[in-house]
Amino acid sequence: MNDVTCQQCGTCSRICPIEEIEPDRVLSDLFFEKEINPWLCCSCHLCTDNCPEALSPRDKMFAIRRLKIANGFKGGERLLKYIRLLKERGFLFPVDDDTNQERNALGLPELDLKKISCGMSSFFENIRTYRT
Amino acid sequence: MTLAIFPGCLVTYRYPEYEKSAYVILEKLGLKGMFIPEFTCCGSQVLESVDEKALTALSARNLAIAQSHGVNTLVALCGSCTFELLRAKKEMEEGERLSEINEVLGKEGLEYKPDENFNVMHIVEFLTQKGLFEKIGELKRDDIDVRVAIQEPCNASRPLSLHPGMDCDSFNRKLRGLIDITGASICDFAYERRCCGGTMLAFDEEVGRRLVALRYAALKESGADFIINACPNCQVVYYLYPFVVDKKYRKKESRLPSALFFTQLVGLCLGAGLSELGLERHRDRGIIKEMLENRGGH
Repeated sequence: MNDVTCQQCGTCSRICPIEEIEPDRVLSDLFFEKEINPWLCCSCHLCTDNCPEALSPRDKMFAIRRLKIANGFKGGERLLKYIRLLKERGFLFPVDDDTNQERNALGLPELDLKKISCGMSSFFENIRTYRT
Repeated sequence: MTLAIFPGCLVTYRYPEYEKSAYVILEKLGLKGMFIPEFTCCGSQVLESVDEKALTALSARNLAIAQSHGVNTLVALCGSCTFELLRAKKEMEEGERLSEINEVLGKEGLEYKPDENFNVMHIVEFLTQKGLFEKIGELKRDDIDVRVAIQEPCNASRPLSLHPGMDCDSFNRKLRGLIDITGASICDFAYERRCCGGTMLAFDEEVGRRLVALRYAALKESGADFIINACPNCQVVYYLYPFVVDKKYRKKESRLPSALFFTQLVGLCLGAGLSELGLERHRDRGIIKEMLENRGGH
């Protein structure tokens, strides 16, 4: 990734909603291999849309997250719990028969939970085999 | 036009009333939304933090499912879903990963076919299209003259590179335009366009808690009776979190304005009842009823 175009103008820091509670953080440090907490990003894309160099600090944050996870980052348990639910049920939350009952009560049609769950098993298995 | 709503996981799990009130509006407009029973989550932020390729493939899969039902207009309710679906669509259309991902999807008998007549958009974009926006004004039955603050959903309109022809104010104008139709007056709210901070509650709750506390203070200052959301992540911030987690907001003196989906407000102005808009299951249903009954000249 070509990060050298960052002029450290500070626009991303100023516009980031997290700046208000983390005023000392310099967001552009991301582009200069300085340590920055990649989990402090609410993914609002304000930095991406306002960077005069058309860089995306937001996307860079997510790239650093992936690198950390790939290197066995401890502390991602909550994240991995969400991923497990996604793989098993197709949603980040424990959608089940109660969900369909609530839908019924509102007059909404039911989800095909079985098809969703089988589809997700196939999908993640197909991705895994494609890679290997 | 063959239209389907993409609800996403948070609406499916927590806020089916957003989906229901969206269908109610479509029906009032004489449109039929096809129901697709096998859509999944878009993977937003969570899967992106772990595996970017799987993320694109997951959204491409949902797009391919829509196409397999003959859908050509896919309307998302959540900002994050809008972003993920549009990003995957762009990536697939630019061609680089089209064959690779279609090879994976092909094993399930699915294929995403790039098609200039296949559109994905957030429901605010959909309802403010030429013709529909005017029709909502014509069908209006009732002025809902309450005071509201608005929370703009970041991911529904950003990054702008996914929204050709839009400027950074387009989405806000459209959302405000819909609220104006309802007769509600819009109060100044310092964070209207500054992100609800909601996803931080999932990734770093302490930081998330500090972010949302700033928003709650500004919201109380705004003088609004309602906070209007157009994304389930924002609804978590203003409806769920202050009541279920941070219980101090349950006290009468620190109570926040009631959180509504914009589709519920628009539904009310089109003459839909509280129950069909899912408002009977709202925690503040008593307050809402009272407010609607007591508003000026009604």
